[in-house]
Amino acid sequence: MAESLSYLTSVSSQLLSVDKISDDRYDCQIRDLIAYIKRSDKSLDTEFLLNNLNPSQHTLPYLFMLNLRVGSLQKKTRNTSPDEIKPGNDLWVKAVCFLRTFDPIQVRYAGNEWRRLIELIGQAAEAAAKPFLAVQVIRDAILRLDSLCGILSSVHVIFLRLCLLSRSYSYALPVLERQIFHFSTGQVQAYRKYIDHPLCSKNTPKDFFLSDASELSVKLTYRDHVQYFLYGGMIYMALKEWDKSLHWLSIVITSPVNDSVSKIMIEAYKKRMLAGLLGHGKLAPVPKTISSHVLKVFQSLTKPYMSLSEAFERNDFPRLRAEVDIGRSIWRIDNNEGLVSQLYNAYNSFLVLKLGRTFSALTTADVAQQAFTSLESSSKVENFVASLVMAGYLGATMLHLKSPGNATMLHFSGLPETYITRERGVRAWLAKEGQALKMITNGVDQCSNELKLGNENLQLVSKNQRWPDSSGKSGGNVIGEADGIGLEIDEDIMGDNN
Amino acid sequence: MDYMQQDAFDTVSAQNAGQVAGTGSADLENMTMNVTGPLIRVDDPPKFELESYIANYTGRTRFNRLYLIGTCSTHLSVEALKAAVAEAKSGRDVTRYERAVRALADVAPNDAEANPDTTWMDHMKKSVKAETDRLEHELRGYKNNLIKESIRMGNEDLGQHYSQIGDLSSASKAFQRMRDYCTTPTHIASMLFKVINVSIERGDWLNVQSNVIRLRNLQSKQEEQAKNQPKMSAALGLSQLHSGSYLDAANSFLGTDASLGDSYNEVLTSNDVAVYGGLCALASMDRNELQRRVLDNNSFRNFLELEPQIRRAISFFCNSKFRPCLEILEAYQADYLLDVHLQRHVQTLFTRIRTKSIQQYLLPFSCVTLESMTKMFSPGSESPTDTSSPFVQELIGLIQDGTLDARIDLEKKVLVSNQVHLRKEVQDSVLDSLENYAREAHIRILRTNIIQAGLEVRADERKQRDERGKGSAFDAMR
Repeated sequence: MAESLSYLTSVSSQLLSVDKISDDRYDCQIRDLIAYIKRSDKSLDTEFLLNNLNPSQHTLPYLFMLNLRVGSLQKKTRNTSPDEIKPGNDLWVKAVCFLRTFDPIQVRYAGNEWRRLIELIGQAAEAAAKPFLAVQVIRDAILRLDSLCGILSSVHVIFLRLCLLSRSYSYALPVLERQIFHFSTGQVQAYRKYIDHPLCSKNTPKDFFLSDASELSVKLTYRDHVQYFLYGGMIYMALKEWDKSLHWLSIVITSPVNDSVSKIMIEAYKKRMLAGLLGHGKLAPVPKTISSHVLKVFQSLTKPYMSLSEAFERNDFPRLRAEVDIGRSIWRIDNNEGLVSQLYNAYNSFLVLKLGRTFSALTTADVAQQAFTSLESSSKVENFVASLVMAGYLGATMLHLKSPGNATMLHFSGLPETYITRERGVRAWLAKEGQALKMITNGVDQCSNELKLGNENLQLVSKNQRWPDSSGKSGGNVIGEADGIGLEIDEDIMGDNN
Repeated sequence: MDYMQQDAFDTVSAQNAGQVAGTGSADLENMTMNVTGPLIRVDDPPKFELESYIANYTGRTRFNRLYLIGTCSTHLSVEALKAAVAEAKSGRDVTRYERAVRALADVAPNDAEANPDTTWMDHMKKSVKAETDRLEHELRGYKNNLIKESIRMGNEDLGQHYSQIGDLSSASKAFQRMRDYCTTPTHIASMLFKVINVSIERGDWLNVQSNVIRLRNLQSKQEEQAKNQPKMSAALGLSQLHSGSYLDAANSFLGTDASLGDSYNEVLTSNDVAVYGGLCALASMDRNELQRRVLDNNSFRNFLELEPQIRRAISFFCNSKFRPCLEILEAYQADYLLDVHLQRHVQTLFTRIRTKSIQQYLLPFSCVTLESMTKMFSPGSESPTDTSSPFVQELIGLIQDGTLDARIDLEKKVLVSNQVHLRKEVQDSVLDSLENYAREAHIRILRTNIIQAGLEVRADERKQRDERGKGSAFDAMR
């Protein structure tokens, strides 16, 4: 046993000095190591090795040993998540420790095992009804493997689902805030195969090592990416970040459709309508990229939501209440009851905001008179407005008047923002947007390169397409305009033949 | 047109759409009856004398105007309807005689003229039938002889006859058939004018516009053009007025040459041009334009002299004396409501003028007391600064639809205009467009990459994977 330990440690410690050895050597050695482990896996004492290996240095052996151990336990107990892997037990601790400290480059060679470990952790935590325990671990592992997270993998979907189950919404933000641009797929771009980078190299494009070949992700289906973005939208909704949630849900509803619309997309459309109402007081405009027949399907399947939002937008409170009551069973079936019940509050706050655009000062009694809602008395209005001001939605101040009736005067002006703080805020915001824009531009460039629409490619194409000109022009002019066009087409055909 | 009120525009265009759809058989009288006829009752006495007013017009418009006044005005109804009956009886249109008599019977059932003269009607019907047959027979004869000029004149006579008996769609068709047989530009011009007149009476404003444009493109002599110009622009203005494009209408009326005089009395008089043009201009132009293009306009001054109150209203508006301006308009409202062309637009025009006055009035102030505004725009109303007073409600409406950039302060009872931070606005819009761009680009990139990865939503795949639950995570949102 000791000798296998010493062999494993010696190889791994060689690997650690990455700077000194070339990528190719590294590649070679690591493949040897994997072959060795796979060859001798039956004879290895997993427990002994697990106790003696350091997961950050000997990532690969450790990972394989963990999986072997779990596999043998699973066989013994005939249970997919045996007790030892449950939170708090020995193997759980080891797995968590591994996922916090593993070496991201070595893992590239054992994507399948890494993914299985994460799935296992997720299942175990869920089986023990403590999904929260897995959330942070998986998040750290994802970020550790690929700090930019530009590529969607099946692990992402598992992670967001766990976040929703454990209601640990804000823990998902570090992953959510890194925008997804790519999808891990089976087929790597053909030209990529000719660029020979070993898996460990820094230059290896991410979508290569995250492709199915390395098995870091199971093969994705349309369901996975649609679900991922829906989950993301739901997390932002729970955090009341309506703008972001709208964006994520827009991604879901604009997903390209081959022949039929997915039910997940319809769920997203419904939630998006509610998010628009809650966040902006009106329906969010539908993105232009959505095709008209898909939109028709959406609209025909979301009629109750449509009439609900109409009532909301028209400031018709009695109708809004009636619509909410009528559709109660629908909201329940769609699991949107919570969102719908938030509408009342949102309605009132948008009403007050609207009053703020019309009046610069009025008494709370006037507000109650204008509102016709649950805010029927001026003291209720006062409480409600106070909560809005404190939450920062509304810039207003209230004054208790001494003169008749002890009315409260509401001033919609708030404290003026000083010039400097605003400028600073704007600058910071601009810098942030600039960063985001850079990311997007990279994405666009990469995308157009892959579509062969990159600048170089276009130049090449235009160079190849320069026709021999001025040969038939004079004849065309004589014949007349209409014939001239026909002649030019002829020229093109000739050019193709050449 | 940026201060155009949304709802006002909607109603106008809706009516307009109705017009276009119903051009087949609807004529102007039916139109006004259907759309607004029964709705508008004018109780105030108008300022004009009925007899001298109607003496300005000739042709079929006399009856239309009399009938409208008779049905709408409570003051003049009997007088006007009697005149309408007499007018109808002097013509050959039996249906409108019947209509006038029926309307008179509603107002004054005991009047002698309220009983239809059946002998006259029978006689007239017979003679009309005979005349129609004769003209059609003659036309057929001309067609057999293939003499262009005779065919043209035959069609003209037939059209004239149809329009006299009130069969306007046939009249329009007959006039349009003349087209192929016209040989000189003068003929074409006279034919087009006939078509335009019939279209005006039918309320087919699209047709009016297209024919005026045809007329304008006609190659004819300089003096001919000069002679036709006033009538053309008057007709064009009328059609634009009815389609709700008041600025265009104002421009057309302002461009009408003073030589119009009383040459177009079968449709409108110079007084009408002054009123229509003045009101449209007042509703659609700003103060500078009004001064420059209306008051300083030499040719339009001739018209304005005929209707001095319009001139006064415009100059009051230009001098920012809004109260007298609105007072003049209110005083003449009854007159305008009894005008066959203006009736449906008076309300919209007045609302716009009022809205514009309020806007102009607020321009120099950063803060105005509601009291002084009420004095200016709705004098005599009680508790002017209460939230429920109509004037404050009107202000609220204007603020909420974005016409006024101001806010009401109910504590100090003032209207405060909003401060504009240009720099802040620019910054906000920049950030906004940045964000929008980033979002849209992201969605588009994802879309391409999804398609490239072959991950489009498909039907077949769903069946296989339906088992994999997706519900559990939704529960978390509850």
